[in-house]
Parts: sequence; structure tokens; C-alpha cells
Amino acid sequence: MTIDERVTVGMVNDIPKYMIWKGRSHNIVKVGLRHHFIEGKILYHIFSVTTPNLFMRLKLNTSNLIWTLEQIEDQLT
Amino acid sequence: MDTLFFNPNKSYVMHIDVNSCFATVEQQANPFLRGKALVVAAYNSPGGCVLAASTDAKKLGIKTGMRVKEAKLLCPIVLVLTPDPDKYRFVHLGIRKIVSYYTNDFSPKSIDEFVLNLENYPALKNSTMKNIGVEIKNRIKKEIGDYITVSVGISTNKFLAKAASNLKKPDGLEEINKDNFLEIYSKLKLTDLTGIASHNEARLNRMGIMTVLDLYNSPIWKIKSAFHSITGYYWYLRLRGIEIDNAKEVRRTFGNSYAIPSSNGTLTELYPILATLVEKTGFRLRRAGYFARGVNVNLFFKDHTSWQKSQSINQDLFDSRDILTSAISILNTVPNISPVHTIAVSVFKLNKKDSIQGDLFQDVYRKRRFTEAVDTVNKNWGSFSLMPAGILKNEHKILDRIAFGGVREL
Repeated sequence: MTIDERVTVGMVNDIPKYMIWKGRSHNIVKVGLRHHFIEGKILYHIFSVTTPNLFMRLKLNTSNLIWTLEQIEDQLT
Repeated sequence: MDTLFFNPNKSYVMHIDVNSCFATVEQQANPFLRGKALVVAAYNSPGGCVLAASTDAKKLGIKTGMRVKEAKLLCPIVLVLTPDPDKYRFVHLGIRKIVSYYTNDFSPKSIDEFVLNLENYPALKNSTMKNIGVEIKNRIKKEIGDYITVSVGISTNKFLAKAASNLKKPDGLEEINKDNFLEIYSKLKLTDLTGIASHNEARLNRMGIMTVLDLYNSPIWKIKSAFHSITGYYWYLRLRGIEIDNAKEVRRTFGNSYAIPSSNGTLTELYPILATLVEKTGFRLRRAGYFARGVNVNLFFKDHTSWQKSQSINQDLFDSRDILTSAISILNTVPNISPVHTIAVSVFKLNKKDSIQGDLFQDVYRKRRFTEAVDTVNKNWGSFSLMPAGILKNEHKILDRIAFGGVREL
């Protein structure tokens, strides 16, 4: 499911550990892949992460340090 | 040359193939998809073409090139994802970085294939080709993703290294050399060899060549007769481990295409799409530092017929507006227009030069400065930040794609 909403992400040693969306905190247990791309002048980092039962795609805009939750899926997808 | 000859040199060529590349990368990113039948398809619609199938999907008979509806017939619950090119490019560049640690002499054959030559490289001083293969596999797992597996093939030429990489999938590491080639050939079918599909198999069968061993044992004249060309001689050498596929690839065209989801079969519908494709092609042409002297337009119709026309131009093309003028004049000559499945445009007769020739009737230098300014804006602010107004009418989003075999612009 595509979301595209601003979220708060807590990092430890460059690894996202939790994400707060709509006032609720989700613990991140695994980073499946971290990749980046450049759009115009802006470098974006994409973190494909999982909580115990959700997959999430988080985007970090390195020009303004804003995190966006792009996508969320459950295990049944 | 002795008929039963095989290159006696040590194997220095390594072929690395990422198993089920796009699908594996998706499973790497999302661990919940692992162990499931999934395909990455150009479009998530019944007619969408399957670009990659996961190992589990392959076990059910789903293959690259099938339509999504065919894959769903084989496995109704197969997951269909659309491509995420940035992810695959990132993995490709990661593997490229790892292999460059071992040799300078390597070439990416496609987004998921690399060929390395390690002859005389220090990496081999205290190691063997097989050990380096294992090391690269482990580094890919550690540095890129633990779910990504590659098949490694080793031999004395590129062709046999690729054949060796196909022997065991996924996660293989095989070598074809002077000691085991006969045993391996005896287990292969003709169509297991890259470059021999049903058509070439039929040609060989007509000459009584039914197996890979037959092909290996055949004299040059027989194989040349089967292929009606010098190709037969190349096959003779390839199977003996002699390198003949070393020619450098030369860029001959730049082009873009688009599959139209629902076409009403009018030229008016095609103009804005053509303008968008030309803008993309022109940008890539200029970014690579080329000029073109020809334009080609290709239409594939829904009724499985096609039409194409080329036009040679006696001036260096680099401005997308000039390419579009030429492309539209070509498109306007289409004799019968009907609903279009795919439209493609390309430029050819490429040449690379630092300076441009002046023109009595137009200020090409000004035009050059203008295109450079537009390209700079688009590089800094993203593609299509500045674009011709004609593109605004285009209701179709032309997605970022990775061409088969094309990694020259990464």
C-alpha cells in the first residue's frame, strides 16, 4: 500500500531502529536493503525495513532530512 | 588444428550471474517475500511481460518472457511486482565495486552479468579462480545482501565461462576446462548453449548434428554449412575454449520505446508520446557526447503487424527539437494507422566529436548553448523540469526501465 506520509525515524549507528507514524511507534527488526538514488540535485536514501509483522519502505531526503513512509505491507501480501 | 583439441591454458575467465536478479533483489529488500513465488513484470496487468521470476516461481514453470496471465495460470497466487530500477542499479554497482577489487579487466554484460579476466592479476598470486569465486560470492552476501546468490562459471573463454555459470543454478560455482569438457558436453543439449535456440538447433540437426558432443566433434566445413556463414567457425573455436568474443561493443543507436496501454489508433494520440520519447533519447545522446545523423520510428500494432521507417539527415543532430521534427515527418508517412501497441524512436549514425560545424542558415552554437542550459536545469532539478509544451499533452507516464543487456549508461 502506498502511503507517502511524513514520519519520525530513530537511528542508531546509521541503522533505523524505530519509526513513529500517527503517534504509534514501530520497532524495526531488520533492514532488508538500503539503496540510494539522486533526483536532480537531491540524494535520497531508501531503507527497506521490517517490523515483526510489517514491511515498510522509508525514504530519507538528505537535503532537508525529512523521512517519508512510502509503502507499508503486511506479511500476507 | 587437432579435431579433439581444447585450449590447454589455465582458466582465467570468470562469469558471474545474479540468480533471478530483479526477483531476488525484491526478496532481499522485503524478507516477507522470501520463499514465495513472485515475478517482476513490466506491468501488473494480464499482458505485462515477466522480466524475472523468483526461484520458487521457476520451480512452478514460470519463465522470463511469459505474460502475467500465463504465470497466473501456472500459479494463481503468484505475486506480481513492478520494477524498481534504482534498486537493481544499486545492487549492480555494488557487485561492480566488489569485482573491481580483483581485476581491472571486467565488463558488465547486463544488469545481472559480469565477465572478469584475472590473467596476470595479483589476486591470483596466492589464490585460485575457484577460491576467488567463493570469496566474491561471500562478499556479495555480506556487503550487498544475504539473500542474493550468484552463479559463477570459470573457463578459458567468455562463452564457456557463461555456459559453466548455467550448469548449476542457483548459487553454483563450476569450471569447464580441458579435463572435464567432454563429460560436461555429453550432458548438455544444443539449446543449453547460449546462442542456439530452436532455429539454430534445426539448422544443426539438418546436418546430422544432434548433440553438443556432435557439434564439438564436427569438422569446420560441416558446422559452417549448417550456419551458412563464418559463424560455424566461431562455434568450432568457442567449444575448444578459444576466445573469439573479445570484440569491444560499439554504441550504434540511442532509443526509447513505450507500450501504450490503450490506444485509439490515431496520430494525434502518438505525437505527445513521441515528443516525450525524443526528449529522453536526445538527453541521453547529448549526455554521452554523441551527435546523430539519422532518425528511426517504429510502430508495433495491436494486430501484431509493424511499421518502421528511417531518415538520414545531412547535419549533426543533437537538439531534441530537430530530432522531433524529423521523427514527426517520418510518423506522418505511416500509410495505415491502427491501434498501436508500442511506439519506439531511435537515432543512429552516431559520431562523437568535441566541436560542432557551423551552419550558414542557423546559429548552431546558440542552439548548442540552449540545449546545454536546458540539460543543466534538468540534471539539477530532475528530468522534465524544463520540457517542450507539447509533452504536457502526454497523459502517459513513461517509466524508467532497464534495457536488456544495456548497462552502458550506468
